[in-house]
Amino acid sequence: MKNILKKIIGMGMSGVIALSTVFVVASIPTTVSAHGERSQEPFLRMRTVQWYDVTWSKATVAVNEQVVVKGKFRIAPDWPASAAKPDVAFLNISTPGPVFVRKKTLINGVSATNSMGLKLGQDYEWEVHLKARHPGRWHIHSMLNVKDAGPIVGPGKYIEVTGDYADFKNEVTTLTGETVDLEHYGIKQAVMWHSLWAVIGVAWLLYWLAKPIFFARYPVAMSEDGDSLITPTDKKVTAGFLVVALGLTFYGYMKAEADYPITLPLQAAMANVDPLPQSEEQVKIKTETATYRVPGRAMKATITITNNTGQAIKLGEFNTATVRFINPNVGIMDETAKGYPDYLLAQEGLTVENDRSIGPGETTTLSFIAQDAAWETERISSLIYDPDSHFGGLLFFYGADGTRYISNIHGSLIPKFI
Amino acid sequence: MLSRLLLLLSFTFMLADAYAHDGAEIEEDVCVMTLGNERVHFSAYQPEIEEGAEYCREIPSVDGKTIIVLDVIEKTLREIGVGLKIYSQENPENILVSVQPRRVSQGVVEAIVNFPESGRYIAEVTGRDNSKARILLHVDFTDWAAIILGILYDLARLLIVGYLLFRLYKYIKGKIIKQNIESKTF
Repeated sequence: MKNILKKIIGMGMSGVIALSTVFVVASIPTTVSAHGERSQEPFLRMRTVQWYDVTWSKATVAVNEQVVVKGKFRIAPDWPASAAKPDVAFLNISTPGPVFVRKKTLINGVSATNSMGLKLGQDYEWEVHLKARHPGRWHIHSMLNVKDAGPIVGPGKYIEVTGDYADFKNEVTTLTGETVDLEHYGIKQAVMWHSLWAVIGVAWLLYWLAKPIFFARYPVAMSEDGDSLITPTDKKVTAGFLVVALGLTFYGYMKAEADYPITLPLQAAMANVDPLPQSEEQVKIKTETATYRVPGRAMKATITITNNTGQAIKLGEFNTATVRFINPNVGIMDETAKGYPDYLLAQEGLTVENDRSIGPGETTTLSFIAQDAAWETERISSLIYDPDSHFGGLLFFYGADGTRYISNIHGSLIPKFI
Repeated sequence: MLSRLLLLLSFTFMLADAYAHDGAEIEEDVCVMTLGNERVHFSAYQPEIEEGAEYCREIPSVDGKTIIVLDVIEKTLREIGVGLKIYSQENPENILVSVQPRRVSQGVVEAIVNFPESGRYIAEVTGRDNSKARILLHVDFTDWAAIILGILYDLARLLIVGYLLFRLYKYIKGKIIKQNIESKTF
């Protein structure tokens, strides 16, 4: 042991620093989150953006092929007071790095390359066209970035990308009619200019690092003789660097102006999108009580419901924080559920007490239990520890003819531990 | 200055071994057991001791009832069926809870157990296809040997880094003297 230590010391400072680094790095916590959406507070996931009808057009695509992710979201009317309202929001896609490129984004048929303001309680239909770039198995989420509130993530699904990245092309036609491949466009210029500035920067650092080490210069710099550290040669070299830097900047600007005479600045305007036309909510809901039983992974809610639809209806689904609790007595009533991520689909998760049809014009009290391990595995159950223990979500009712009626539900949630 | 740096480093070391169960991703949760390719999340509650506190391998008390909950993550395993058995490690014949494997459509298996005394217990999760996974529970039981070993390990690491930092300090001090600041030969 003593010999080893002697050898380490004999390695000099580089050995000591390297070993210190190894020990410190070994001490850094290694747990890194994979599905970041689960670490987001449940009250945000349940009461801000209610994603529904989300589909992914393909489960497997080749490099250069496109996958379309689309669906709808409702901006919750019970948006939490502690989160900024979606006055400036941007529809995005969450991927593990640039494994896809986004070719088109639409909200209610309007191009959504800009941010926009969204209205509480309103529905929006959206779609995003993604072109596969890197082969692999990637988890793809929809995501709404809300200014000052952060990203609110929708459901995620794995998409398999096959093929070879070398084949990837991202061609676009500019307004001047030129077709360019964005994957490689301007790369040589970027590399050349970055390298040039890097060389200059390194040369500048080396010039000063070649002098006595910082530790020795520091006390002198702090004393009244600090100016004596700068020699006449230093001043000349510095002036040379300044001339080169200014000259290169001017040359670069002039060359860019000559090579690309027509340019557009990055667009920062806000888009205006009207929400989907909405008729008055036909199934009125008032939450009477709601409890969450921690060991049972079960939320029980009692609601007063008024059916103004003109036909008998049944409660088919409770949708919250991207988890879909389905009433097996009604079954899956829409095609979108078939391709929905398995881990977010509780196919027998909704139990309605005295499950029966609610007649047209009827007002009645109804209790339902949404139970599934997803409360725990999706980390929604930690809602009971939130400073704002309110839940939110959507209730899907179905008429005998299959018509779907969507209602908001929200209210206080009381935890039960036994 | 050096002592502050050492203190900071010692905290860094402690963080490396810390693990918060609440909020951890399910993929990295230490309470997840695997049955073949399928996963089951194990948790225990003692509502009469502390409401809302979720435990995994370390259960703090033998008083009152303990609610054991299994969250079956994969749908295939929910269909296959999952059972639960809890017994004393010293005496496996002493079975405290036995839930026969059954289909769990909502993925939740719940059982209540009253631990008779402090000690080590085994929670055994069984699939209907007889695949098994076990975790060791410490109920009101402190494993002093493991704690002392952990402290010794952390101390050893701290001593090594402390020594390296001491060498670094000596080196810098020596270098400054060698540079002969007073002569201003720059």
